Amino acid sequence: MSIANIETKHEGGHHGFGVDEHGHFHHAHHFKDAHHQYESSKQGIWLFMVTEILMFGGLFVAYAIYKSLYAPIFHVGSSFLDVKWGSVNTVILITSSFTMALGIYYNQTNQFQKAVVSLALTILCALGFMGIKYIEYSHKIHDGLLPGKFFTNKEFPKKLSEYIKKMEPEDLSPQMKEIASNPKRLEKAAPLYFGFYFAMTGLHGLHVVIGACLIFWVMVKTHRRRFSSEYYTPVEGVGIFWHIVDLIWIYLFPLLYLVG
Amino acid sequence: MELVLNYSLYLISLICILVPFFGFGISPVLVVKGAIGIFLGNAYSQLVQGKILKNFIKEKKDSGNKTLTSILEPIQQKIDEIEDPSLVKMKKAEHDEHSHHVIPIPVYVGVLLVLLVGTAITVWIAQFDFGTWNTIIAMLVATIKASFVLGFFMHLKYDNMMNRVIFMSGFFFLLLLIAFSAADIFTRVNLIF
Amino acid sequence: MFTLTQAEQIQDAGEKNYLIHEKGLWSWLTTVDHKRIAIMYMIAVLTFFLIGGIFALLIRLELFTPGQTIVSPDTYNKFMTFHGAIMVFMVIIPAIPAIFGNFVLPIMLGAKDVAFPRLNLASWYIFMIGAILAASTLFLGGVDTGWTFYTPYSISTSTNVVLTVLGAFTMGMASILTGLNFVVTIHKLRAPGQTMSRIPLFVWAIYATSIIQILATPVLGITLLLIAAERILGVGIFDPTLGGDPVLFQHFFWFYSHPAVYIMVLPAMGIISELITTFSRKTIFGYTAIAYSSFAIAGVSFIVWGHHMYVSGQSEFAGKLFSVLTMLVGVPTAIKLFNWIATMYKGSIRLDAPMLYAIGFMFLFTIGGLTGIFLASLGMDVHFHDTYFVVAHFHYVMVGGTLMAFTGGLLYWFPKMFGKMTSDTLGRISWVFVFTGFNVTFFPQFILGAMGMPRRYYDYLPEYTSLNQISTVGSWLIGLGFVIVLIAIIKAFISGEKASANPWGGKTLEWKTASPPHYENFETTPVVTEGPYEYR
Repeated sequence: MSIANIETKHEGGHHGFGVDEHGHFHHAHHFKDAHHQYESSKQGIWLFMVTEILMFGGLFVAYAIYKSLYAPIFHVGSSFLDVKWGSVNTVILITSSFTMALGIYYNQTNQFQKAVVSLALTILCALGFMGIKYIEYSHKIHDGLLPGKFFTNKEFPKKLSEYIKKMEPEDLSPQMKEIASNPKRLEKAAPLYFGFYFAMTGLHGLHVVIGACLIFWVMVKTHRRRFSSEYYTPVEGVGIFWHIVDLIWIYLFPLLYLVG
Repeated sequence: MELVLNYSLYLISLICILVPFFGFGISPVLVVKGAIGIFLGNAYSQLVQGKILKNFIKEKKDSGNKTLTSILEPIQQKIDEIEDPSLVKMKKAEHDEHSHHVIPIPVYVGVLLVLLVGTAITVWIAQFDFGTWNTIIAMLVATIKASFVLGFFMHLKYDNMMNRVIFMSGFFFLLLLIAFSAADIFTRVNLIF
Repeated sequence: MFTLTQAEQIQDAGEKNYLIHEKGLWSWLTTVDHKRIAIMYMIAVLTFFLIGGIFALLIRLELFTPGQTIVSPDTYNKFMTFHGAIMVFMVIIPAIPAIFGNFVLPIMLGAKDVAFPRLNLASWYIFMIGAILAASTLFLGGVDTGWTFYTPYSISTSTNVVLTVLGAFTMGMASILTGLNFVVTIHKLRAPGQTMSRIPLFVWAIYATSIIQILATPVLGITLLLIAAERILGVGIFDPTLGGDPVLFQHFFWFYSHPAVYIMVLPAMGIISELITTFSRKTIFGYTAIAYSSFAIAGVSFIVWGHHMYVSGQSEFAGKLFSVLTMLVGVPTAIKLFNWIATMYKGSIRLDAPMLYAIGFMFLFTIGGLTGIFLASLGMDVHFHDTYFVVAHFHYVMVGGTLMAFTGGLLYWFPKMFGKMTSDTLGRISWVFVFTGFNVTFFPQFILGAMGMPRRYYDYLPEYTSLNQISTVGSWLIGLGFVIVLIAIIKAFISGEKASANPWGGKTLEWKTASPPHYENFETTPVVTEGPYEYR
């Protein structure tokens, strides 16, 4: 390889990330220009989202496999969930996605007041979601519908054996038949559903909380005018994360609440 | 020599990969198509790296052949642009026309309505029992909602292809995970959990 | 030494070289310079290698005689778990990408840094936190499940599984972020004129590795979290008494861990491509084939994981499927090997220490890879599974493969990183010990496995004794070899000859900068006009 000398434009001194007091954005020095930095950051954010999809996806895969093997357990299990609260949560998250997109839009168009309001509304939605989650979880705890070794609900095994009696034997998988033939095992089988319920909604809830904290952070920075139409990449990044959280719930809701 | 070795290795690997999946019936066709595709791709990269076209144009230019060069030069320029977008940008004047696409609010509102309607449909349709189709229908509706979120809220519709490829690849590999795990679990004969 | 032409004379970076540009420990702990971060990774990884290596020596010492030699069975189980977990998660997976990828990749691309320098620093901290979490179990009673954490034992054992899996989860996060950084760097930060067909093969290898890191590690993440959930909450997904399926754990675990072994080996192959071409002073044979074969290996690696599970209760159909698919991975690997040999043919070969390690790699990895094909075969694996044959196989590819490539790369890039030459004699002597010791240690293990000695066993039948003892002596030779490498490095630091910009006559971009490089890599942005290995 031969090297030709190209003088790089020298940026005067080091500027912090983001928009400075005069409203100017200085891109990081290892990028050619602001657009180069923006495109690269976006790509990095999407790569990270792939990892989130794969992580939750693992849970979905396990859920799908167990659901086909133990259909009655999952059917009875989901009957203990309240579709009403699930639907409300879905509506809340979808609305929060909308307000998040607005938050990005207002930053793109330099309307910072409205951006802060939109982001605040998004956080409110997140808190609402967690509130309803709290209600749901406390009902479960009260009813003894807990994961794994803490499960104490008595109604579940009864409902389960009744449901299995109503089913045709050919509809049951060999693994299900094995469990159904032994009443003691049937009693202990509930965690197969509720383990998934708590693992999936728990991990999702954790991401809602993390997302809310991230939105709070960009809201504060928006308020301090650290973004502009020239530079709003962190808002967009947090927005993409938040939309992934919404996406996961869009799949979780029917799977856990409706199709069981 | 290098050419022969490379091509034979390409062919062998193609055959090894395709035959187990498609059997001996379809594979020959695919192998031939694959080989043609690889040959064309290789020829193109040899053309570019060996600067064959470039040198040819130069020769013709020097010998004064105007018509041939006027046809071939735009082709060479196009190849240059494809291979080396950064160099071409350096030759052009310094533009900063990278305006970010802004989606107008009415579009966002529309997407919100679509999503809310979709949620209502999901809940409504769940009361009917379609047997095994239950899950498939629910997932279909969810995927339609998801594509709206991805396309508009997350801007993928107006983004470059690479981000879409990146995101979709996640789902593809998830598919591999479930396909092969299911291939094991649902073909078990004995009940060894 | 090669004489540089006038045009290639590079000025010493002087005050601006990255090692002394900013001074003090704080400037290192808050650096965003990829070169400094690489050094920090190097110190960490080499320390973990020392610890993991000590466990290896202890294991081999215990196996010197049947029955108890130095420790109890429980302690032995902990030793073998630590050796595996430390070597896999803290040494072999991060070593080449985090050290050489970080240091050399941006320079090879003509960039000033990676795409996200602050994320790079965060990766290092996350890695250290994960390592400390996992290593803390050393003082809290240890873990004895084996590095694969198979259920149901990992659910029921009373040792510190949760801490270890949380540590591994955290280190996985660091791995993902590093891979992400490299992918965006390769896509977006290439110098003007550097098309994808002009990047060095080491970059192609890291590219394929990074994609595996991004796609496979999250599944390990969720699997480890589920282990923690099962232990703490009794979730029951993998517990057979509650209807769970332990084999599903293995599916999830190996979905990551098989691609993980390619995370270990692909960068090593990238280094070998660099070493072979530089020390044969000849353009690499079949650049395109080697580049694409990295991706072929990465792709195939995702559909073969069941070959770890042939006898675990997996269905016969799945076993056959995985067996056929696993055979495929030999093809791109062989393409690489033949291309390296073809590169050496009629080249002007110099047997400097890095080249010795490269040639050692080619020989040892071939044996390792071929024995992998033995294991891929469903029928043979029924006999070999969980025997020392498997142990020998993976040590041939990981130690004879990756570790030799790592050491070769270390000796190759040491002058670039630190501006000092290592003693070539010491390097060559170390190679003799490492290569010989390695074969003495692990070749007998193939025989032991074929004879039926199981792996991870504390005790064994008397007829296996002599081979075990040969193996143990070999382990001392390897240890000695690496001690000599350490001595060579320390000696280089103290009294090494000052290195020029291009002591080996390499043609890739990192040899166009000073040794050690300017803190921004290049004084002015290079413009690339030809391929990376133009020796003619």
